[in-house]
Amino acid sequence: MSLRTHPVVNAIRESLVASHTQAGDTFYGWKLSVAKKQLAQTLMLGDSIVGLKPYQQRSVEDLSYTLFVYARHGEHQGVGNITLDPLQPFTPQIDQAFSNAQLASNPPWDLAQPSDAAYAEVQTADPLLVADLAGAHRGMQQDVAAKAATAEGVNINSAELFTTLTETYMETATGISASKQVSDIYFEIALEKLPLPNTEEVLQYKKALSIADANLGGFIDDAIAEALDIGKSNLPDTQDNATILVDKHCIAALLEALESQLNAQAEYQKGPHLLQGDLINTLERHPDSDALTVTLDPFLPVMACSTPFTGEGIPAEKGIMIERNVVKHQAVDSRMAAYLDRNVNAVCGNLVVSLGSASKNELIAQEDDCIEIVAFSSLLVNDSTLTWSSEIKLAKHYRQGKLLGMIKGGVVSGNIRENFSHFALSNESAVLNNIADAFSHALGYVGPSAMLIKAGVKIAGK
Amino acid sequence: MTTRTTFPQNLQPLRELMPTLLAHLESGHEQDWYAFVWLEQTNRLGFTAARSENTDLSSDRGMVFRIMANGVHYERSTNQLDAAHLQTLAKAFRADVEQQAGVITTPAYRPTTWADECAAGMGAETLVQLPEDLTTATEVTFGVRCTQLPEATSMKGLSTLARDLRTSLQQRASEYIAAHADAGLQPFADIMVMARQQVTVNVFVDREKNIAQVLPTTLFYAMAATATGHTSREVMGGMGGLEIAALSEQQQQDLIELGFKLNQAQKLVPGRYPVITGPDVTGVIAHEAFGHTQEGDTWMKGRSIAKDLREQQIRVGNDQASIVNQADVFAMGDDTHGTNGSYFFDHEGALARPQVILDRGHLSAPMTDLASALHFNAPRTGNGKRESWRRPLMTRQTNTYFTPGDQSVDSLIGMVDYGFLAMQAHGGMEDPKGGSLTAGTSYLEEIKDGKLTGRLFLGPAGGHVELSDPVFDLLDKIVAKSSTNNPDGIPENKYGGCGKYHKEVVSAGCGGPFILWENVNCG
Repeated sequence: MSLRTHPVVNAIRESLVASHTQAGDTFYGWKLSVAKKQLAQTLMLGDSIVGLKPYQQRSVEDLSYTLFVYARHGEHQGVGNITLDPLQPFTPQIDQAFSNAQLASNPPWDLAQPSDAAYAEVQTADPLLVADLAGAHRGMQQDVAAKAATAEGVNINSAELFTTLTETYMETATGISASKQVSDIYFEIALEKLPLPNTEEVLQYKKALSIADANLGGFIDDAIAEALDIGKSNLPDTQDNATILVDKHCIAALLEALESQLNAQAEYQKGPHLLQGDLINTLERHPDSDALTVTLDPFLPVMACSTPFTGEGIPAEKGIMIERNVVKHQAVDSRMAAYLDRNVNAVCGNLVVSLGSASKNELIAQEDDCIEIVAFSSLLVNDSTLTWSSEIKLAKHYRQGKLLGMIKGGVVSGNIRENFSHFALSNESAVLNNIADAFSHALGYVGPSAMLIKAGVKIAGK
Repeated sequence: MTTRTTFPQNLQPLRELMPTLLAHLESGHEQDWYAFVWLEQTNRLGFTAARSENTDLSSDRGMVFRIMANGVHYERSTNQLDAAHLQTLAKAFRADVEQQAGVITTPAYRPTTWADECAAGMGAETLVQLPEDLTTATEVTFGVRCTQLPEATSMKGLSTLARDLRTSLQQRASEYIAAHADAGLQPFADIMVMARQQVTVNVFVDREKNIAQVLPTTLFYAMAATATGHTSREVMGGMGGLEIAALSEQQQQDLIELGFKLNQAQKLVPGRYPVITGPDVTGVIAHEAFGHTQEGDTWMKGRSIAKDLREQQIRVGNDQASIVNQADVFAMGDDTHGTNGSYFFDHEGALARPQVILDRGHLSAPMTDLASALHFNAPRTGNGKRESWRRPLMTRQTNTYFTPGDQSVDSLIGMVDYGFLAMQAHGGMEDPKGGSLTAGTSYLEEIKDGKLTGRLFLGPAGGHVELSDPVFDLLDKIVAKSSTNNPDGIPENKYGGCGKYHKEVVSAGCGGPFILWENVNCG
């Protein structure tokens, strides 16, 4: 059954129209968001015979209704959001949201209107998961267990597999109506090199929207290779200007923070922000440095930030945000357009980053001294100060391309805008999908698999 | 005067249905299976006063069916809570498990009875609420004592609280700028105050118990943000009513002054320094040091170094290194309220009891959920928690704290020739297998010749500061700890949350005394 014609949605709509009519102009508008989820979740222990053995096996059904009511009172506008209880009458709940909306006093803005343009066709779900989520989940579970059973040289400690199919529907008082279906897979595996006991564990996790992109067999191979690669490790030297090589996870995290300052909301909040024409680098760009070009693309198939429409329901657009280190666009929604007297745009989507000219190995070989960060303990990026830091969980120390040894411990930190003063991107492409959760927003990334950072990095070690 | 929270009437029909649902799950299978039914409801009310004002009213409710058969914990969860659907789902789930579990070869778990619980002893706040003549059908509800019951909280009341504090802070900021006119201070980009209250209701029904708890948490969060992106903050939060939501005059003044000072802070030269951690940062170290490492499921997966260390009786800290995990914290330090990681029973119905997880450097048995307790034949410690009914259950910490010492804070500062005070936590991470630890702090305050100088330092790159060392080294470097006024010996625990590695967010308090560490790697 379509969520648009679901009986509960019909009942909410009828109550909304009645409340809207009764309250008059103060009841300025509403947006209803419905999410229907089906989840399969398995927690597994390593097992010497069957590879991975489930010890917790769950399935979940979730149907939730979230309503935003907009009120215009005096010179102000407010929004009251509420999750609706389908077992209770809707009108008192809507009235409560309306009442709350009148307590929030913000400058007014016009709500998004339906567009004449049709929504683009964007593939956001894997047909195999749409057809049979439980069956597909079982199949992946069997595959990873079989793969784990054949692993050599490592001990598999545990794994988790979560598979989700989400159907969302949004409707607004202004006539916008949009829906999409999104699938996602989360898999993590923890393993260690034999012989035991061991104090160096590899924990890797993969997030993807499709079974093919998840490629769990290949992912397990990579995790095993990483574990087998681990040797004796030392603390790094303390350095005031270190050269490090980071992977796609780190590049995406740094760019996500940078991108947040291209959102017009950052300008409105009067905190740090970037405007059209600004340089992203704060130090003078080194003549040997690459230049950064970032495009937001919402139309890439089965990626985490692919979508036919924005959060307001406007048809999504692709756009260049940064070109050769210069800001080209801000992201501007209806509210910020009204507040900052700008034009609305619907540029959103996955981060697409231009490639560099050298391979990862060539980047390492060209440096006298370079630390490749294999894993951060916990990379924290501050999207206000655009600084970052983490303990080093595991790294490789190279001198003129030759591996000197492994590094563990110490703290590495940096300043993103200094980092982009002197850097080099690899010419090998990588894809990353982060599914939104309580910790982070959704993030899709297509771009270099590695980045050499030669400015703005400090290490506290020996 | 305090009054206890009471069971909400809107959930009573569902509570009365739960024994029937339990019968659908396990009736006739009691010799082979163990089943329970779990209901949770979280209602949240919040108002944010800032450049953009915002209201938030949410209610989330869901039910979990659990059947444990042949060592596997099968679960089915839903938020479609009409009685007919629930009964159909329970029957279908039972049929699925009958098919999946196959021939039973593992003995069924026998749940604890009220007689077992009473014999084992329980906390005063739990015991005082137990009715007499307990039977398996007795509906027991545990409430939290509040001065202001959450039923009386309204969005209007929260908006007034938040706006009044914001106005007061804005006024103080203006006065501070005027009083320091020669310093050329820039106004804050924004001052934000969030007032939020959440009431979580849990009902657990198995063949031995029918228990519920009504847990109110209140959070009052104030933040001043500079145009350069630095933020100062004050957080008042914990388990209780709106009486928690108050910032003293001194706290307000400190918040404003800190915000301006952060803009002028120097960058730290990375290195090893003596550091005193306040309760906020102390708590993160307790949580990360041997908190995660002592989680039973982490032991069960072979992912913790603690199991081998305990078996080999290797000491991992000095005489001052004692850490407790305790769910039933309903008063602490100078406060009459508890922290947000508190509860009376965990999400598998195990009653809360304190556990010393590190005793003067010696590791205890792990904290457990049902799965890990059975795996190790270890006691259940009431640490089975889930993010929500949507997510799997894991062994999680409740409130984790270092035990107090015998020094005053001033005497700790007086012991430092040159070092730093770390007051405001900024994240943390553990490596249970590798034994490393990192705890973040937003800034450091300099100590010179036994006195605070008032000079602040940021991280070497201008962000927060990471305190990082191997856990064993760190726990061997505790020089001294401050004392507490709490007669129960529970020091101040802070409002907080926890992700297991990088997901599964749950409420978790953490804290402890001020601790002086001999030298810590700061970067």
